[in-house]
Amino acid sequence: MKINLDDPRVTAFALGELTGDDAIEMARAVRSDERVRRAVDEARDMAHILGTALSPFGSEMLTPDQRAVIRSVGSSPVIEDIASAKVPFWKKPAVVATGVAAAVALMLYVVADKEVVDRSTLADQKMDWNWSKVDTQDLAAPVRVGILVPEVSGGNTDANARAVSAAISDDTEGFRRTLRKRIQTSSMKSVQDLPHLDTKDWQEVVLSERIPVPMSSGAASWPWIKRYVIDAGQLPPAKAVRIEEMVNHFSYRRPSWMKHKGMAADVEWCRNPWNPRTHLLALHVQALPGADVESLSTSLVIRSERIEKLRLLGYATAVSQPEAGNDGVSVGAPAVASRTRGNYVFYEILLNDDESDENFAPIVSLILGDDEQPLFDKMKSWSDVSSDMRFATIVAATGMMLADYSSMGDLNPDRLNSMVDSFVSQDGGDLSPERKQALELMRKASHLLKRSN
Amino acid sequence: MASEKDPEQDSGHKMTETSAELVERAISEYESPLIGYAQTIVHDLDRARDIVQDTFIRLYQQDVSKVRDGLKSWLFTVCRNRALDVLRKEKRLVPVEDEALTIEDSKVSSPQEIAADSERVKLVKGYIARLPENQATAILLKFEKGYSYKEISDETGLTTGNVGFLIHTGMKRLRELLPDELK
Repeated sequence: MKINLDDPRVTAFALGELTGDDAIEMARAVRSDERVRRAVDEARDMAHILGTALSPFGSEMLTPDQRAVIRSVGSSPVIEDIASAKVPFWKKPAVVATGVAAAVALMLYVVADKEVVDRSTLADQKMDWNWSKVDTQDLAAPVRVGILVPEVSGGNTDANARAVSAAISDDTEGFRRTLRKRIQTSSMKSVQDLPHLDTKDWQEVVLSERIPVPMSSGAASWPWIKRYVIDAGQLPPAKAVRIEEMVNHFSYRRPSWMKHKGMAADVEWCRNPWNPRTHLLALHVQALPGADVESLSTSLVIRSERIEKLRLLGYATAVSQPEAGNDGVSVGAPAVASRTRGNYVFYEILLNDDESDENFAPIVSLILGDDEQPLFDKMKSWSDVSSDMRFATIVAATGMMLADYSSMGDLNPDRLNSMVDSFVSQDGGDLSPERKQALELMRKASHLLKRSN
Repeated sequence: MASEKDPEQDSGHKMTETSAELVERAISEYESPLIGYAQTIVHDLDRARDIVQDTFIRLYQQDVSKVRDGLKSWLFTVCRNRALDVLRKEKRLVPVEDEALTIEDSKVSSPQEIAADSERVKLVKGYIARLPENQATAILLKFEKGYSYKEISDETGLTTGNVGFLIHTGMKRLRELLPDELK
């Protein structure tokens, strides 16, 4: 039914005086008729003017922008039709979780012991893994991340990959220890066999979109970088540099900001210390004790009203070698969250407003299982965020430089060094030996990078 | 015309609604009360608005048939939880001194602001005085006293339909009369 703008119900609806079917009819008209929507919003604006002028307790209202945001969210396929939404390539599991895939696949190239455990028994082995007997070809299964489940190849290959992945989840430290040892004792030449990395660049955010958050990372990159930088005094090849693996080589404070359905998460964001135009958003997700890690999912709703572009740092697609005989696309294990370790993830974001310091609208919402929490944090500078985030940022920056990332703003060896200096002066008295060694490595990498330029 | 408003009554609708229509209706009925409620928890208007915005966004994700009958309590519960989440998080993240200063700043108006507010009230009342008396009375009862249509009806002896018409017409006229600096 077409509503006449002289109908007093227009104003009554704006003032919250309508109930019952009258209210539903007006709500329908507001959604479907631009004239009615404008008339109702004008009446609200006038009511706000009168309320604030005439009453010390004047009724407050949402701003026109906030109403527009609410309506735009309701029009988004994210909310209304997420199940049938077309998934952009950059949100596909192969992109998001290839970090795990490529990382564990590295074992294929570094493994010295070629003894293979029978595939039929791998799927049955959940506990007491003998990592020295694992052939990493068993890890080359389709990946699964968050809420998006890719097509699987079926048969034992997938079952084996899942079994190995579950074992990594159960015995993360054992897996990491074994991998480190293999890399330390393998030939330096074997790094040439690593898969090439296809780094994804910025993606436009047109609609508020829900993207899966990677739940785990591999573990090979940092040991390789250490061999090159510390042991050999050389820069590592770019293909050995995987930012998410570098960042997650270290442990971080157990997340607590949000807990739901077997998961906990922390979220922080700040201005990017090497690029004044962008910001860094850090997520730390971890399974809680006793959680069913294979069913856990974490995702972010990227608010298009705040964010113009974003990119996930790291998690490049690993392109397999042509001689491997496959289609050249990534392979690997399902990305199952560790039972004992969190996963630290960085997004670099470009806001689409200039008033980020004053704007309290959420930039993202974090979804754990079926619970959603918007991020309302005030904008902070890099020096004001947690020690964990600052440390992880330096590690990520080192990775970006070693991998010769695109769009690095003002990031250069001197900037990297000054970030390390700043971190040491602020947190240096309370650092673990592991982090102290890492900072030394990053200083040395910075020196090597400067010399190579 | 406007149904008589019963703040405790959310059910009884005969028409079906989509989630978008439910949200629009929820904004109409509960926008201001929710902002006021959130403000009592977080003591900051902008944050309160953000919390209410988020509450309405979350309403989209609900099954209409499950929330429409308990819409009011759903909205206030979610709003309260969001507000407490924000408060909890900010208490964890913001130094106490900063937070205290922020709250203190938001409460105190400067003498200049008080004078400007007073002048504004005078000007707005001057424009309302240009309206026909019955329109001006209805508008002052609505916005100065905060009466509902029903309460204005009881006060003036007019029907709620008449009250709605007077306020609708009076507000349209005021929109034409008020200079931009008062809008």
